[in-house]
Amino acid sequence: MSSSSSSKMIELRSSDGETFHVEETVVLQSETIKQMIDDDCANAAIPLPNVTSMTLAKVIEYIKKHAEKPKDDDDKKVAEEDLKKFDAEFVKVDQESMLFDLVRAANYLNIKSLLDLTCQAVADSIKDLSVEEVRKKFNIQNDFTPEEEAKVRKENAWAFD
Amino acid sequence: MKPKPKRSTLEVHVPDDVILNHILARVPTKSVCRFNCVSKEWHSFLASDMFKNKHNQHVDDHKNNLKFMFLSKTETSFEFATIDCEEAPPSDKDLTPTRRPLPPFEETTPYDIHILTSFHGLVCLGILKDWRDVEYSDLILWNPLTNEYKRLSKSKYQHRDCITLYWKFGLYYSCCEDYYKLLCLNLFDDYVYIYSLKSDSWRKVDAFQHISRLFIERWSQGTYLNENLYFLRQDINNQSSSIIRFDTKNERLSKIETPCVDANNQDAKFYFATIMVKSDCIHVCVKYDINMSCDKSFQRTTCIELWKLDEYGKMKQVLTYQLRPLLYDHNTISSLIPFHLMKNGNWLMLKNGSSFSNDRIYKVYLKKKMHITNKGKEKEKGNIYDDFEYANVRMDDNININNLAREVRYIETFVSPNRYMK
Repeated sequence: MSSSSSSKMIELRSSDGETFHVEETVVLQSETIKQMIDDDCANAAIPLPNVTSMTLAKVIEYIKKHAEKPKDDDDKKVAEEDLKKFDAEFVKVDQESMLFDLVRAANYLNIKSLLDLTCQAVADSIKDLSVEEVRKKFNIQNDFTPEEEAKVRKENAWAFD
Repeated sequence: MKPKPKRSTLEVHVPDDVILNHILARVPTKSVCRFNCVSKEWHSFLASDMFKNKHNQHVDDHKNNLKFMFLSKTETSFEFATIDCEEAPPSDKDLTPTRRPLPPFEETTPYDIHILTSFHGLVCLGILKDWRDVEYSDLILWNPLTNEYKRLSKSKYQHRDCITLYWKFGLYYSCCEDYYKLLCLNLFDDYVYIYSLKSDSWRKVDAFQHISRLFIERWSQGTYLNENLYFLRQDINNQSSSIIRFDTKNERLSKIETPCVDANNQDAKFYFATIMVKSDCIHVCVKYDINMSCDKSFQRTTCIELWKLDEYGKMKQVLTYQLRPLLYDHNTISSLIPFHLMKNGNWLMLKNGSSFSNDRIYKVYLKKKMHITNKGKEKEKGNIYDDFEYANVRMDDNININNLAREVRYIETFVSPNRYMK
């Protein structure tokens, strides 16, 4: 990127101790980091104890792509299409745990567009699941009595077809 | 506080707050209803107004779950049902609709109900109490999912001996005011009446001005996109149609010309046009039959053209199909009106004019795809399909689906018609 020389670099440190150098303009997409910079807490490497290096690398890939600015109006349309494709590919991860990690990281770093994107991906992946599968996936204990559950099921019977 | 369900520490998990506030707001309504059974915490959360408002914010993301709602009327009863517009069962199987509960009418069951328009999960119904009625005795906004409904206040303009035929409706949402509004075009007195759900009141607007009208026209219901309501009006004699756009911000109507049938094809028959939203653009689908030369003889061909309204307000042709069915089967395809182009390229179509039959809705599967270019200087003629099949939406024998104001495109939401009353 041509602007890299003029922009200030910010150092981020993942939970497993790896450091990443990212341009300030790019990293400002994270409200959490923006706040730290505003509060002048960003002179040394910013520790991110909740984010692993693998997840952080993915997050940086995302915010870098989303920081690219189109040159003109024609370019803008192409760039929008390109970004849509990138987003669609970005959430196609092999491991579901990776997607969950990204959701947590987006939530912790407060990057709204990434949180929207990853939550939509999780929503799409759970929408066809049964009640039991959802409990298992999110580790939720069923605290209904059998009678109570039967009643709620009956009220929503149409949704079980 | 109840003890939190235990989680295994090894497993990565998403914080409860994110699941509840961000993920569940993005699952379709049907999944939400099913997930009521997951736990007590989910059950009470999903029933809260806070959740419903959150879910409603993503209403445009649910466009993928477009449904088609229709009303079946028999001599003694009404029944609402929906089909999923993208659901694609094997082509040799019939489709079965999902039945919907009737709105909780306070008094006796009405003589007749018309589905007038739908938007964001709200369906506007026109009620005729008595067989002698020629105007709606009541207008109702109804959410078929939650079965909440609201009877709209009577307008002083409503009682003008204006028969139901001359009213055209469109529901919309005014972002800046957070109001749902109902637009009623009166094709008889040329005025526009706007109902605001928030104040439960009506307003009369002189919006027609330069839009001239003829009585021999067919008007569609309003279709909402980006702060405009679009109506398609069709001149049955001229085989032409135009779009009438209502700008919800300045409350003016304007006209957009749409293409006529190819002038060379004077003998075009069975002209139909429908308006639809696809990829965030207004599209008009035109269908007609012509005789086309083929190996020195003429063959009846059904043409389907899809036109897109681009950002500059111009119509641009995006797709052409030519269907050449077997001779004995031609009457079926000729009488079908396309209303939804599925993501897999197949069509949902409605049978025209079969007022007392239960084979109204068809899925048309386009199987063979051959791209041919005519010889000589003739232009490319698009995709020709001579092999396709239908699947019928099959209902009980005692169900009648009439095409008179009894169907609408619909998406499920938790938007309440009584949202301003709390």
